[in-house]
Amino acid sequence: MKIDRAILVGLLATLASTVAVAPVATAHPHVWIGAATEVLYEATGAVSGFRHAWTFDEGYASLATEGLDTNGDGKFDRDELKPLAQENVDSLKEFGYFTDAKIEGEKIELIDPIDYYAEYDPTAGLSLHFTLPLKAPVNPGTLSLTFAVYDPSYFIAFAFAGKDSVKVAANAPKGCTASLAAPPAEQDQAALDEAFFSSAGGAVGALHSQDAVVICK
Amino acid sequence: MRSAVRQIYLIALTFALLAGSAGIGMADTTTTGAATAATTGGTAAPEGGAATPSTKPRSLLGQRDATAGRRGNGVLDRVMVWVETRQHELNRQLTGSVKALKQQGSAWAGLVLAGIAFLYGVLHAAGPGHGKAIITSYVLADGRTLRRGVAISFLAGFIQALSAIVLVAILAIVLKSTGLAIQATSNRLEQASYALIAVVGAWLLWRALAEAFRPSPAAAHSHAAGHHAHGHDHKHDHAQKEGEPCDHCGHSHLPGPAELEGAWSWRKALALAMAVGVRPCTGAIIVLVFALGQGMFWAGVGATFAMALGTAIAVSVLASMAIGARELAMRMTGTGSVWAGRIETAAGIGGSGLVLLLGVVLFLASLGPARPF
Repeated sequence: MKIDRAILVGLLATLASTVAVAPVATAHPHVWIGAATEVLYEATGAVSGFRHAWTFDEGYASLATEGLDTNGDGKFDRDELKPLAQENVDSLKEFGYFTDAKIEGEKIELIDPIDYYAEYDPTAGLSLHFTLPLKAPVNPGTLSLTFAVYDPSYFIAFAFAGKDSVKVAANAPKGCTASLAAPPAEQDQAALDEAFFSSAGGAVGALHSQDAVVICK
Repeated sequence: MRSAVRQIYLIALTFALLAGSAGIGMADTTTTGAATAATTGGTAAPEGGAATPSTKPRSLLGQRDATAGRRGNGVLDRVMVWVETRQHELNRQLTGSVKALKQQGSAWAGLVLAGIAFLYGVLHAAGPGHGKAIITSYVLADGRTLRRGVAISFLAGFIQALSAIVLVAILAIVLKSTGLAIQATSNRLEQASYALIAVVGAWLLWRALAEAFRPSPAAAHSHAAGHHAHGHDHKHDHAQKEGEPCDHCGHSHLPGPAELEGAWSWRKALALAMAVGVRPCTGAIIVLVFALGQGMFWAGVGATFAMALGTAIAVSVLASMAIGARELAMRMTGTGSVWAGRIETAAGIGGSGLVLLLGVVLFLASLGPARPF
């Protein structure tokens, strides 16, 4: 009987260690990005796209800009950073621009970015700016439009950088505002669990993402 | 009756061992797996892409998720957020302490940098990558002793640190390449590493299968009596001549002197450590390039080794758990017994199979599009 109990202990220890390690293992970003997004409108009042400004963490910024100070003046101007912006924007396509926009839960299609550039500010750091147009501008009317910026694999940790990081453009119809939903940790756990399963497992990033909501009164 | 209960436990334990490695392992594939997913999803936004992460990683991923979900009543999420917050802090402190070292130039500042890099390494090993799953699977298959499990973890960590240092030294310092080129080369090395892991895994599996199915005269008579207590560590006396089939062993192993098999085992371990270590760690590359930008490349080198040390220790702990669980299972069944032999064979085949599977899955996933950042 003693032996059987020892085996059971071994079995439980193995299971416990597995369970302890596996989920923690998923949280593992290498790049941190502070995101700021402006919702763009057409003259008709339809939403036409998103204007993103993504600021990278200092460590990644140093890697990204390595070797790009081609004139050696110790600064990075937009021309020097052009190859970086181009490469970034090109490869973003495969990842859906890490932007997930929905109207009442229905996905909105996005197309290739326009007006993009990278910028280096000695205090603010490296940032990437681009406009992400909707395939077809859409007027949400009174329906709620939500968007989130995240990397499902969580290699990149996106976070909206503060309350004022989401806003609507100056020409937005009157009464339209953009705001952040409650941060994930404060959201209902059942909803989080559902997100975890419905986002096909690997999408740990979704767990850490924060929705932004655009409402028009 | 009791033996039936025991056998059920044993089968469950063996499965738990394999599932454990798979669980840790599949966490490894999450990052790259989702990358592939995004390709299959085409231009669809992240969620659409992630919904189709190919059949290979999915089946096992599901298993891990189920485990996670069961304990996901708030605690899991808080732990994940905690780890993430620490990582973000450490990441900032890492660059901060390189700058502090530059300004102060004191030994204390150097120690702080080393300490932070070390913690970063430990915490990072809790995440995917760093061959943790592969090393754990390997020692499950061929661990034999705790010392070897620890040795291979350190060896792989050391090679991995060297890989990052050599990569940055050649590309950034000698060739004056751009960060994009460094990342692209790092991705190639990653692919090469996964391919090598698959090759080593196939080799291990082939050997494990060859050993398991090698016709053995021992099969003819029963060992349930446990008349000789020969462990798996080959400390028993080989009285028979070289090449002569071992006709009294409960489980088969290579014919020939124990010394020869020892050498072969080291060769396997070295091959695996090389395969795993070829892939440089992104965190190390970042700290090296950042330090280089501050004119303090040597500080980056030191931090990289401190990071590798932290990772190696954390991986050693995992590897030791796999070895410990295997040992325990074998000891419980009675060293040298039929069941101990069966567990060893199962762990050998299962562990090797996992190395192969992980190599293939990670390699396929790495063929996906290059990450923008």
